[in-house]
Amino acid sequence: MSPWRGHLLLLRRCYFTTFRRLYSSSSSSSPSSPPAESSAEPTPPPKTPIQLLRNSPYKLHIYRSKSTNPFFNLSAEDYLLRHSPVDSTLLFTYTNSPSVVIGRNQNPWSELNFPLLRSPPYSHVNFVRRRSGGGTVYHDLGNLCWSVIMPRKAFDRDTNAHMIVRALERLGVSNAAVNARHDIVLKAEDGSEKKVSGSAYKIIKDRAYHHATLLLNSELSDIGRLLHSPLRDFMTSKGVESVRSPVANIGVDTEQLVRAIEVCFLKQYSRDGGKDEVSVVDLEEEETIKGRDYIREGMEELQSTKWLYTQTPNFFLQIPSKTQLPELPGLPGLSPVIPEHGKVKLLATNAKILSTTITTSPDPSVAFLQSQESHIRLLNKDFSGPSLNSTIREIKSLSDSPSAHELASWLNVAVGEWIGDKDWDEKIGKDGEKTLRARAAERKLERYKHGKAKIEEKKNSKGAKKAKVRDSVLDKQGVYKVTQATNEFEVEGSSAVIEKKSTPSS
Amino acid sequence: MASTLRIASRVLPRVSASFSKSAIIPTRVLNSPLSRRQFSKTAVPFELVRRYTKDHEWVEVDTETKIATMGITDHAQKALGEIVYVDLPEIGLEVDQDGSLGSVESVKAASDILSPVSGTVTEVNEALRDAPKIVNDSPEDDGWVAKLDVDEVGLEQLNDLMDANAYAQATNE
Repeated sequence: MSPWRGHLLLLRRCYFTTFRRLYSSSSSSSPSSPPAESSAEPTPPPKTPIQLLRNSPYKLHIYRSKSTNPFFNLSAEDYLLRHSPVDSTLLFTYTNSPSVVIGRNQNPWSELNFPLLRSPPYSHVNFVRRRSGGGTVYHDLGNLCWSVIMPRKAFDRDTNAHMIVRALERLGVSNAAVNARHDIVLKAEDGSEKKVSGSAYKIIKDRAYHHATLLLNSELSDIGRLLHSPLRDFMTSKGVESVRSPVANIGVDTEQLVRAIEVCFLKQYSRDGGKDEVSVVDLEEEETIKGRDYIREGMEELQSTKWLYTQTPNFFLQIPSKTQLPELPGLPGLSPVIPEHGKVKLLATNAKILSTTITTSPDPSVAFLQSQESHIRLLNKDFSGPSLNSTIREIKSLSDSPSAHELASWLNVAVGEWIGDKDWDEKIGKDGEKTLRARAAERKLERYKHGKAKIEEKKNSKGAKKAKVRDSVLDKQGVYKVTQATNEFEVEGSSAVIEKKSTPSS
Repeated sequence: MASTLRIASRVLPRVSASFSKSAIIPTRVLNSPLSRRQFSKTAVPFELVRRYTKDHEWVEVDTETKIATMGITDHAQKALGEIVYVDLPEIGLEVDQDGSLGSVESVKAASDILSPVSGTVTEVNEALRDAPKIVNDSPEDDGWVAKLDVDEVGLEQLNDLMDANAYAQATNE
């Protein structure tokens, strides 16, 4: 074995223990920071590593989430993407409680089985729309999510997938490979391939991430059922459609695999012959949210109806005449048939109805009336089950038609209710105060109004101060010094403005 | 008859020569439909200023009407690959410099579109909803993403951005 391996392992373990002792703020008995209760002013609690991340002198970071909340993990990932030093590389690993996760530009109604998602054995499964592109995936505790956050210039769709393949090889999985869709597959002896990992990417100003799932011991039977929409055959959507692939579990232990990935990550990105200093952090949900408003507001956004439903690209729903609609979970015994001369067409933009034609009558003049009335009544209504159901029942020209009523009940369940925060606003938070985004935008405008000379002056002084702090930090040894030094230096808020300012211009 | 032919043979080459010459000039003009350079050269009160950002967006501002048209650059389009969806911003959205103007998706990657200057969105390129590939085919012309109303602050922000030469240099590095 190469001397590399032992070296890195040792290095990792040593820093891991150092950080654990110094940073784990949940344990108050930290030996290196004796409580200074004798002084009149109470000392502020030590900053958590994620609060210090922006000014961290380290180039390599390993974050592990202790939470299984998908909204927290995705928001923390977004925070790490936007607030880590621009030239650093991070590895973030997490596991989510059962969730169906659609890509940023997907239509949930053609990807997910909402009736099943809302009925008992599955009602605990979260519906999540992530910030990266790509298709729909299923997460549960048997699935490991990994994410590598890197400078945009270093972005490549395959490098990190190969890194994972190497990590799997360390655990004795030798038939893993990266396919043309940048996913990881297991190759069987007969040449067939089964997907075990799905990749997606997010690119921002100067940073990018590659994140992916890894099926270890997932409930594979749930995947097929939950990702089969009763509306899919009738939907034509803009945006991105999932590519269906046969899947398999790898069957290795999550903890072991995380270790193997971390070692491969250090090997891949270490620039100093294995002597790099690495910051290793365990993220606790509660304490992290308390320390970072950005993550809390990110979680609120991910759970808003605006993000989950209204973000849907335009789509067209058309059910041909004489179609017998399938029976739905939670609605047994109802499978309505669209009449021979009937028409069901519906166009929606931003998940609001733009035009509709619902007719059931063979008589053209009655059908014309039905089509006009259905259009007027449904115009601008939300594409949600209850809203469709009640509005279709209000249409007078359809009131004699039993098939229209059956259709209304069927759509009620098939489309489902919008579950999420309906009042979320990106400008005003729940407390009535301006949100982080609004405050950041305001500060930025303020700076422009104060004139450029002042900005330059500020920039220079900040740069000098930063250089000074960094020098003093790097002169001395040990990690705790960083905490002390950056405590004074930590700048207010966590807006993108400051992030940009502290960016060394390349 | 013979004289006619002689005349024709004398005339024909000249005709074809002048024809080909005149054919070159108009195509050159036609190929640049907006004739930006020619507009900006003339000493009329308005000017079209085209600038580029470090994160690969272009912006063209009409300094008279203060309307800015923006999109992603050819370099960005090539780096991203085939674009499958453009998430356009809402009309009326007030955005500051580097604020989000939606995103583009290509090969499973969602990339933020950042606003080169601050302003208010007045128009979005509806054609991209049905045919996002226009961004690949003509990123700096038909594939524009949004039009913004900018104020003095926005015009001043143009000074922070690169011109075509500086951008070409920056992307070649």
